[in-house]
Amino acid sequence: MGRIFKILSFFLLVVCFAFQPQGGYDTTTKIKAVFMYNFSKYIEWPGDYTSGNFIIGIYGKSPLYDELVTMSQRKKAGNQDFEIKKLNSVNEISKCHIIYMTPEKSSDLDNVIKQTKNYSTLIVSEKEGLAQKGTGVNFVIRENKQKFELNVSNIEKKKLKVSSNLEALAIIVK
Amino acid sequence: MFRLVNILFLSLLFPAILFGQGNRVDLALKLYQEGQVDKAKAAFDDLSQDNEYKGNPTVWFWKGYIEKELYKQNEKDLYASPLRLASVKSLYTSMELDIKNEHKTDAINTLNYLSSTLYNDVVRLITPSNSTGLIDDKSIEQSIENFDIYLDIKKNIDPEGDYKAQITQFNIVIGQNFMKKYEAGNYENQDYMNQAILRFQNVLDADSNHVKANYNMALIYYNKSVYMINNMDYDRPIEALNEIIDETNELFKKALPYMIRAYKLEPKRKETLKGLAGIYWSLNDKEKSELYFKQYQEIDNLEKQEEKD
Repeated sequence: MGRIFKILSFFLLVVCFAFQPQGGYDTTTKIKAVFMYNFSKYIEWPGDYTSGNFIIGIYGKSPLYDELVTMSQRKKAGNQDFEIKKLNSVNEISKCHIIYMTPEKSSDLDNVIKQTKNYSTLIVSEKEGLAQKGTGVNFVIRENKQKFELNVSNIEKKKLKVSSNLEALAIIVK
Repeated sequence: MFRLVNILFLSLLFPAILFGQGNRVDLALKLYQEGQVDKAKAAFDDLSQDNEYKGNPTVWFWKGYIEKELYKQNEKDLYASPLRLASVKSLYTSMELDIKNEHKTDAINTLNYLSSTLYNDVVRLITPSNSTGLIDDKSIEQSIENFDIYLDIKKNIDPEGDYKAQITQFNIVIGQNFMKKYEAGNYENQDYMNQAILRFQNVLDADSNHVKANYNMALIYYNKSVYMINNMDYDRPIEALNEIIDETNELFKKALPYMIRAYKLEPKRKETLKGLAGIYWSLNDKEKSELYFKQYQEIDNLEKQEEKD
């Protein structure tokens, strides 16, 4: 009745820290990109902006650029193709549907407003208080969550119309 | 040779066998000694049902022993072997009835052998056999069943034994398997997630400072949330956007305490630092995220430098 049995071991199967956090960790960029896409859907631009490409300018260095480029390969703004532009200086700003300013470029807000005064451009910023200072949309964090402020008056000055669906999602500021 | 040893062993225990006399137990044993194992099994099965013999530990011991022999002959490659299970049950009954400890040592030896086969089957069942590294549901289920029987035998033989380490390791392996399957199935099968959580929670219930269990627990919630965000459909109705943000935020919050604990237990581990940086980033706490990411980079650079040196 002798036991001649080789006992295997599953201890070897336990690979220490076998799993890794999901690649990269910039979840916030994707959320912002989805919001940006929805701005193109739920804001109405004047007639002369509804042909040609739907242009989104990214002012400053941001991973949002790459995310929006990826989005632009799959999605359209109505019948318009998306065109995502990198903007390195205020002087490069021309006719855009949307301009996103990185937090680092916030101090340039006045210049951006001046540069876009003749355009129906939605200015999107990402710094506390900027919606009150002239931008149409301002990304903010509330309770650790990505939210956005909407200044309807700033948007309407640009002859843009905001859908009530978008307003319902936003934090309205004046 | 083995047969000869068996005959000698049996003869020592039951001299009546050699002389062809005795009761029905002896006759049943004689069948076994003559190599008529199936008939011997049938005879002991009958005896175990007979009112006169069913309280006899010798009947149950030999029933279990013969079932074990038949398992070896016929069902060795069967993970869910009915004969092995029957043998275990018979030997348990024998031990319960065996007040004089006549068969105790032999019953324990036989049970030890059976427990080894169960353990080895568990290992085989949870060793990935294909390139995907994924184990099928049936194998996982069978491994859990076999491990439970293995453990039960061990506890029966030695109730005072310490099996915590084995249980922990098993739960971690099974939990990680469910986790892998959950990830491979694009986080859709909630049952896999629940099973993984259950296994890691079992480990944490026994030892809340288990690093791997804490880390894996954090990762289940974190990875699911990241997956949900990365795969968020741009055309998802706008009204549902805040819902997904709330849902993913909750998952990040659930992941955080486990990752913090794993970090406190092993502050220099790169994976944990990366995980913490990721969770805080996703919770929009850039300051803390950068703090942990910096620590991660420092260790990473140090390791790279050491490799160069």
